[in-house]
Amino acid sequence: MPPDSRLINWLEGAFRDFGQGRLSKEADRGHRIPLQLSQIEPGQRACVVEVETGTKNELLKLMAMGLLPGAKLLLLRRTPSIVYQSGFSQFALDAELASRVLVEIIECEEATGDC
Amino acid sequence: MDEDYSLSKRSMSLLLLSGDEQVLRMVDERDPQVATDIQRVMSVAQERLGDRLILLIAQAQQRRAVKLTQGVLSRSGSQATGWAERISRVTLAPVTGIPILVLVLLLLYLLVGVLGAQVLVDWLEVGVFERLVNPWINQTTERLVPWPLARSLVAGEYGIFTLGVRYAVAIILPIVGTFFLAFSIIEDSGYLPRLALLIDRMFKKIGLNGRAVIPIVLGFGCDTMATVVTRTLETTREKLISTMLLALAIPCSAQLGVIFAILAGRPFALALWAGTVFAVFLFIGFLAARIMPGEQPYFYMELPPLRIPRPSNVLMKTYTRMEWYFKEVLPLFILASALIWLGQVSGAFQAIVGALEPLVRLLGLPDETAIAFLFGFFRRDYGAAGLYDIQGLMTGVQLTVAAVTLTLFVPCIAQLSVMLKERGWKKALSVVAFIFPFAFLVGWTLHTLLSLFGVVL
Repeated sequence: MPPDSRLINWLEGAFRDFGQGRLSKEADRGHRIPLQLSQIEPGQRACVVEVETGTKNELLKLMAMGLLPGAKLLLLRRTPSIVYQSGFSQFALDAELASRVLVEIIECEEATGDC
Repeated sequence: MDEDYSLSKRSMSLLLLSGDEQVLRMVDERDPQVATDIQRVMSVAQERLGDRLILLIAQAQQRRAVKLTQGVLSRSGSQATGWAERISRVTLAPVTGIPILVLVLLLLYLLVGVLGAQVLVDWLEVGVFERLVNPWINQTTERLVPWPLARSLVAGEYGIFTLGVRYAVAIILPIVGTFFLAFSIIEDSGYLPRLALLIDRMFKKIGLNGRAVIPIVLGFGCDTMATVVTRTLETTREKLISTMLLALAIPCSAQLGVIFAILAGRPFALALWAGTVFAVFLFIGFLAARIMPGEQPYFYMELPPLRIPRPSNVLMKTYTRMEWYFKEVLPLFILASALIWLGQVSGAFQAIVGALEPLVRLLGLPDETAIAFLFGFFRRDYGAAGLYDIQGLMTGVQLTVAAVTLTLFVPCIAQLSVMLKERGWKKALSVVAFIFPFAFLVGWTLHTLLSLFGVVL
């Protein structure tokens, strides 16, 4: 077996196990429909469920602003643009980019870390 | 990977798996064979996992970071209650944010337009140059240089020292210096990202996004520097639109100073000038956004907390920018006065002025304004300053038409050279080829409308 295909097999295996628990939250939360980040109300806390990827560039931008599946955020404003708090920082996004981020509303105090 | 990349192999692998193009290029430069192998692995991984690979790595890093900080970090109270947070909210809501923006612009005007362009310029120009430096240079060259032609290169009306250096030091430096000071304060306070957010929707209509507010605001200080700053915009489309709007409809601080002086005491003329230029800015931006192909810009930005700027940082920034400006612009000033000298002695100027005269007559302006228009190319404010000298000859309507046309008219030599460097000669020259006739068209339309309705300003 050539070394690079061994590496791919290993990667695949690792990510398959790893991905089960983390990325496919839809399975155990099937009854709840995720909302777009642009649809929740200011003051609501939410958990990022999925980032719909357009181009790699857009994905990197959203990731750099703390929008990873499993990250918590607090929506601060919706007009004139979306403003949210993630961790210790605040970020602004336009409605177009925000519609790519699917979230679930959560009830908890802390706006940091995982959910 | 056998080469030493000064990073651990694990970090290198993670960066490569995250699709970091810079790292891949680095590997490719040193070891093309390995890079090809990596790309093969990557394409298979990409095929099976898609963009999830990038997300998974980032998630794992995020989780580890949270775990690490949990052990060492304790938070006291809520951070959303401080005064900075309250002010931040007020600047973001359009109802309160727009009045605050007007207030900020007013303070900017007081600092740059009044303190810089009037108080400091008066002192340096009249007190230092006209009384001390220029007479001394004129006398010294009189004594040392026997040929009148060479003498007029360095001294006299268009001399390198008496015009170029005086202009750079006595007129531009105080205006640009106070602007950079004000801009550094605004920048360090964290206000700019909030302004960008407030203005994003309007800017989207003209093909830009809120981020472009930084080069555009900077353009009111110096369009040349602002054109360099358009580098920070992401798409070529945004870069081109902002370069064009800067060249067309954003008057620089030096030009603003002179135009305020010309139209002072005629509030309606001033309002008409500002309204026309602003309308052109929106209209051309709107058209450009429709005509120019390319992707729709996105707006995203971190909002840093509002802070009181540290004086030492503000001064350092102002100083660095002024130094940059001086190094960049002083040689161009010297070049401009040398060219003006050449144009004067060779008779080329008279020929160009002769060609411009029918054009300015079309705008209902006296022939003397042709010289101001020609000078406007060497420096935007040279042109306006030329207008200042002959304002006694003109009516309010003529002054308004001339001020509008000069504001829109071609960028100065320094800005043009930066446009050529940043955008390439094709784009830069097409921008100029558009602006030149368009500025005259707007001037002509304004003149025709104003005389049709018999307006007196």
